[in-house]
Amino acid sequence: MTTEQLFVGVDLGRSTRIAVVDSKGEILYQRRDPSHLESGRELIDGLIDCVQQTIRDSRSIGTVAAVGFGLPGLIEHPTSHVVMLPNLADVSSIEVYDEVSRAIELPVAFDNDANAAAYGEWRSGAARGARDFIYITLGTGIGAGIVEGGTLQRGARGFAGEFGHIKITTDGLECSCGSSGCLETIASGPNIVRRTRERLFSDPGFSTSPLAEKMKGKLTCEDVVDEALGGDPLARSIIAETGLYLGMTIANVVNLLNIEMVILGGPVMRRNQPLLDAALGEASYRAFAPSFSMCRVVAGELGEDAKVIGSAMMARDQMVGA
Amino acid sequence: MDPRQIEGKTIAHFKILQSLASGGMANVYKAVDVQLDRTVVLKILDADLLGDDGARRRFLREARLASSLDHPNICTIYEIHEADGVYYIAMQYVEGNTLKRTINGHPLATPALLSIALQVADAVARAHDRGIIHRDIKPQNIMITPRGQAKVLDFGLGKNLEESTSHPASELTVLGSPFGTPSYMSPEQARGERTDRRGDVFSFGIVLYEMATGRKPFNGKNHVEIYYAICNKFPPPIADLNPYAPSDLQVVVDRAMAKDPADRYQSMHELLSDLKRISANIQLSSPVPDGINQPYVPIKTVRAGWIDALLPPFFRKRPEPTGVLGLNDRESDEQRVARAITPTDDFPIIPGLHKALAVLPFRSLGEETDDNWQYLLLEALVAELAKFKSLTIRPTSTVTRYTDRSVNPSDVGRELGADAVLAGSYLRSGNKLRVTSQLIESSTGGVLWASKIDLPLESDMETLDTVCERLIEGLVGRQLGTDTLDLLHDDSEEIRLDGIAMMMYSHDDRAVDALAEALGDSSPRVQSAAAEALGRFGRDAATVVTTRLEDATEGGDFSTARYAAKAAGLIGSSETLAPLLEALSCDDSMLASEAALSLGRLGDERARPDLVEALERSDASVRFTSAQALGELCDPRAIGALELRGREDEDEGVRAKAQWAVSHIRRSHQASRSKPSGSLSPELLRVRSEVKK
Repeated sequence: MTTEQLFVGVDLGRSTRIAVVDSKGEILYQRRDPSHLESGRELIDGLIDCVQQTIRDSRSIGTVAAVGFGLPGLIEHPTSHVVMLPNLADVSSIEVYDEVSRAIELPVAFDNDANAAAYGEWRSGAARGARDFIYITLGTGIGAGIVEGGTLQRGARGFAGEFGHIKITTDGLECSCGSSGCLETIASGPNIVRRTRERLFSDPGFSTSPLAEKMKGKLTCEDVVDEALGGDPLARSIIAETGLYLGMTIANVVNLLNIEMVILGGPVMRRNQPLLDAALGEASYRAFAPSFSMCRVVAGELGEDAKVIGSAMMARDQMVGA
Repeated sequence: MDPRQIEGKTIAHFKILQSLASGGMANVYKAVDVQLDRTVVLKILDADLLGDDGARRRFLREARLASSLDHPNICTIYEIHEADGVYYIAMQYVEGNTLKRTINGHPLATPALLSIALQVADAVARAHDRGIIHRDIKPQNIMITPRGQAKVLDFGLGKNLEESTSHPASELTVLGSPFGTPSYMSPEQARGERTDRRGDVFSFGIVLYEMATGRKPFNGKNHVEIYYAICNKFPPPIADLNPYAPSDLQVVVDRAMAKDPADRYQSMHELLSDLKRISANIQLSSPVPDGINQPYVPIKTVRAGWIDALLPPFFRKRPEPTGVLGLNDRESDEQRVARAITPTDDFPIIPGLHKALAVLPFRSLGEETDDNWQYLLLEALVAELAKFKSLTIRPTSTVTRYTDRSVNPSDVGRELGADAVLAGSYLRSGNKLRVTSQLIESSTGGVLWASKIDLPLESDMETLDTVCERLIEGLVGRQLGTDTLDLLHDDSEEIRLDGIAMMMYSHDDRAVDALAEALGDSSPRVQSAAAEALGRFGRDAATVVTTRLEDATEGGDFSTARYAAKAAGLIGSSETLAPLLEALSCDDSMLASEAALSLGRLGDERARPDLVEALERSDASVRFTSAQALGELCDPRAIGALELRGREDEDEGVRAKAQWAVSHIRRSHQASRSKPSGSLSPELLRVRSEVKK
């Protein structure tokens, strides 16, 4: 009989990804289930079911010691109260942390998903050994985890790191956060697709772009990246423009925090060398040279696994009091 | 490093778009200056390859000197700087082809040849006056814009690089240096001796020869053979290869290509004078007098296409190319020569639709001194007029010297080779502005058109825009003797676009019908421009556009219907509501989508139920545009349906658009409920609205 100590990491999004991870951060097993977005109640009940099932399934390979959750929203620290999950469902009437920890009966760690991913890259990815860095995740939304002086910075209530809601213009689009002109209205995956669709309508010169053929059906950020890699002028200009704003915002953060590393991750960065290059170029142009000269801008190493590994490692470290 | 790797990156304030050329010493990119929002050519040089410190300083000094050259036929160097041992040289980006490609192995027609030759010679002469020698004049270094303007590239950059390195020629070839071709060197350069401006004269002679014959005068299988030919051989006479070339040209070419520098033209000005004489002799349609900066470029009817117009008649109207490579036109050499020597009345001299126009600086009639207004107005007007591709506008640099001089406009027109000259004056009195102007025909001195504009003097910029718009309204179109309807049926897409732009300004009674017709054009760019133009006519165009939309939708011509729907939205008349709703229900994806966008622009809340329904269509494009339209309608009753799309749509673009619409509607309603905003003082609100402007 094996007694290996295991940790479960959960990445809650439009689908729920759950991984069983060993104490060194290696994924042993993982599953993906659709999230129940019909209501907050169904979302949380479905989540609990999946986690319980995973814990049961992993008995053959070891014992789960703790579970970490990376959640896309505002998570109060240190109470772990889930204030909102804006892109998923309304959970304002549910005490999510209490319900989940009662149901699972194991030590539970709750954090914002960007913090979780930053933690993953820190413990077993691109930021191993770093003391001052920011991890930026670009997906449905844009978030960040900030590590300064070797400590994850959550801010006064746990809401630090809202990189996507840094204002980049006075007259930008309205954002779902209630303000306008946020980076997220330009550079999140959905907004990259939105801008592509708009350009396809407004500029008849792009009617021959391969992306124009996909307008009727589902167009994804990945399609845009693929076509940019293939040299399509529309896709390239969309990615270049995205990089311009992303790089400008990175320059602001580098100037503000004097970090040694910027790590870009999340689904939008998948195979997205053109965006990395464009953002790097703009940041190097905009940032304060003495700060930027010692700062590296790189893509994450763990890719999509960063959130589940990070959540699991958070649960591990919280349990042992690291 | 692969030069393509830095595409998309930003260096200093230049964003690299694409690699244009690369070589051992320099990589050349198309880039955007993000500070000034202009396209540039960025040359990146490794300073180490320039040699020792002295050579680098020489290079920098000469390049900086060259960047001070201001001439319409010299490609401007915007800036040069050095960082970490790398030189970045930003130059004007010139659209068009190199002269090499324009020649493409065929002789050019004499008018085009002389036009290009005069422009290049004038540019080189002017640079020599400033003590700058090019040292690498060749057809690859001369760009010809689509409108026939020549631009000489790489002043102060060319051979200096090559000379200042210690690499022998063979090694340069190995490195793939962009400066490797020796075919345009002077004998003294080929021998490795120092050269002066007479070296440029020799190289220019070679370019002239190549334009006249389509062939290079000195050839060889390797560099040594080419050097030998340059120093010792004489090319076949031009007339053997092109019977249409003026005989005087041979004299000019012979003197320019004399082996001994002492036997050559001693200055480019001498050569330029001879070229002008030849050009006067063959009586170009527009005279090319002394002292011009930009000779008139004779262009045959735009219908024939510019490159076609450049070729002598016997190279035009060729049978369609056949064969795998498209090179064999199945005509024997004898047949071709027989045809070549048959006179034809199809000689490209008189421009058809093309008109050249010069705008003189407007004179101030008031007492103001140090008044920038005349230049502001001139620049603004030239910038607007330059959008019309079938007009050639003389650059402001050629006309500013007529400031403060009482000149006869028709004389100036003839001097500049312009068909007509716009001259005017203005008076500012209190808060009023009066601008009077006349369009004068150069050949007769007659007034073609005159106008008087009285305006309240608001901000400079707004007043300028209004003056420009009013002047162009009067100027363009029939005033210049071109029937815009002809332009709309031209084979060239660019010319059709011009026609549409002119229609917008012309107040031609036929404009609305003609533009509605153009909604069915074969090019989406033209269709879209026609829709936008119709939008400017407002309600005057509503009935015509409505009919076009209905007919095209019913007849299944969805492409035309799409752009008619676009026009309808821009017109903004409720008359178009019903046909737009009909179009929204249509199965054609682009038509339904465009109709949705237009319904949003129309802002008529009666469209809401149909748009909400369209949010559930299987076509993502229709869902996307319907969400956009509902956002613009700003009706809170759509929020529920939009929230659902924002959460559940399978397409992330649709989700983003629907989420925006919800936020937009919510914010607009919050703002309208609480004005002025509780958290912002009236003063701050004012500043914010000004910043947004």
